[in-house]
Amino acid sequence: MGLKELAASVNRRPELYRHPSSEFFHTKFPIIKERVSLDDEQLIFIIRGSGDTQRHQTNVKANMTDWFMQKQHKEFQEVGDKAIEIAKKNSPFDIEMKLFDCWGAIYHKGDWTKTHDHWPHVWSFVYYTKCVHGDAPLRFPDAELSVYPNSGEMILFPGWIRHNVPEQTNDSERIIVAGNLTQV
Amino acid sequence: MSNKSALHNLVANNNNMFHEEFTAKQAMHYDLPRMTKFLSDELNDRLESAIKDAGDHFEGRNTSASCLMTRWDMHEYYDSFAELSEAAITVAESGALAVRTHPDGTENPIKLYQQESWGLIYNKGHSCKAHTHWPSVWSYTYCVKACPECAPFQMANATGGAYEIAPRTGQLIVFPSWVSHAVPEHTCDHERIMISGNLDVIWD
Repeated sequence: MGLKELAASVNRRPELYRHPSSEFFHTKFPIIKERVSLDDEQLIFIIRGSGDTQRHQTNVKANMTDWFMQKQHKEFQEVGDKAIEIAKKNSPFDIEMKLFDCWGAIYHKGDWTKTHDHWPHVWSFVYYTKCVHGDAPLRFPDAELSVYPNSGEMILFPGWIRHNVPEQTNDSERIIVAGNLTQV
Repeated sequence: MSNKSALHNLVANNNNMFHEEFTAKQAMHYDLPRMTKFLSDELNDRLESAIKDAGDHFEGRNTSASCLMTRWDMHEYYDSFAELSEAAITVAESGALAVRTHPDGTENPIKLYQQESWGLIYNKGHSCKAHTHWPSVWSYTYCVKACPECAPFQMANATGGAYEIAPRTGQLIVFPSWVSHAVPEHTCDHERIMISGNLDVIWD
């Protein structure tokens, strides 16, 4: 496949908010923040060891691992298990969920993430393994909300909600694990 | 395939919990798609017969809707419902909301299946409380028989007040399952016959 064909195959379909049949709604969705205890040291070690597998070609313009890290490393599955635990507490109904994909990323100064969503996943999450005061927040443009990261916190939100990360301006690393949950 | 459907949840939780609990957090302005398509009269006749043949499955009235409601797996039993399911899936798949690609960048379309479908007959005085069909991905409502004066389909959270769609026979409306919707009291003397359904993702 050439570059033109590759470009044509991407973004062929409309994103949620650009859909031609869109109607404008004003509604509420949950964005949940919870402190959790996970093996941060080992997660950081694995993420560093993976390097920039995605070569900045996804929405994440930072060093990013493979999409399915839970298949190789139990530490990522443990992050997903914690996300499922939080999701079950906050879901309107008791449904069974599984971790679909889970990846890590290291943001250095100047790194950022484009606005995107994780439709059709039911829940998405971000876990902050290493962050300091002043690190780039997780932004939800449709809510005009910025959630600032703290190490050891997990943020959970419905997969269809658009989000981004503005440019990291700190000199320090901002290290995260993110993933998606689906109904079983 | 999911073993616990949105409709099971609606019934098990006496319907409206989602609307009350799930919306109590962060307010957002959001664009959401609502797609429509019109189907044939011949299909409508068969759908009406199927609904009347199946009868009321929820006589205890433990659902959001106060009207006659059939079993929720109608597409498994009636060809007419299966045909409607195919149409709804076609509409929903044509309006996929995100691009999924293979690692090499080629498109990897998100495929859907019919999770459940059911028929409803509203008579004078019947209504349906606000609810959503979370965690399904797409839901639809199809008008088998109604007049323009029949109770509309309402999406209460639209900016600027309730967004209403008047029923039209043969009209299929496909919308994201997390959109809260309702039907106000039906005031016509004749039947308002509708079908609802939920579509979910076939994960690889």
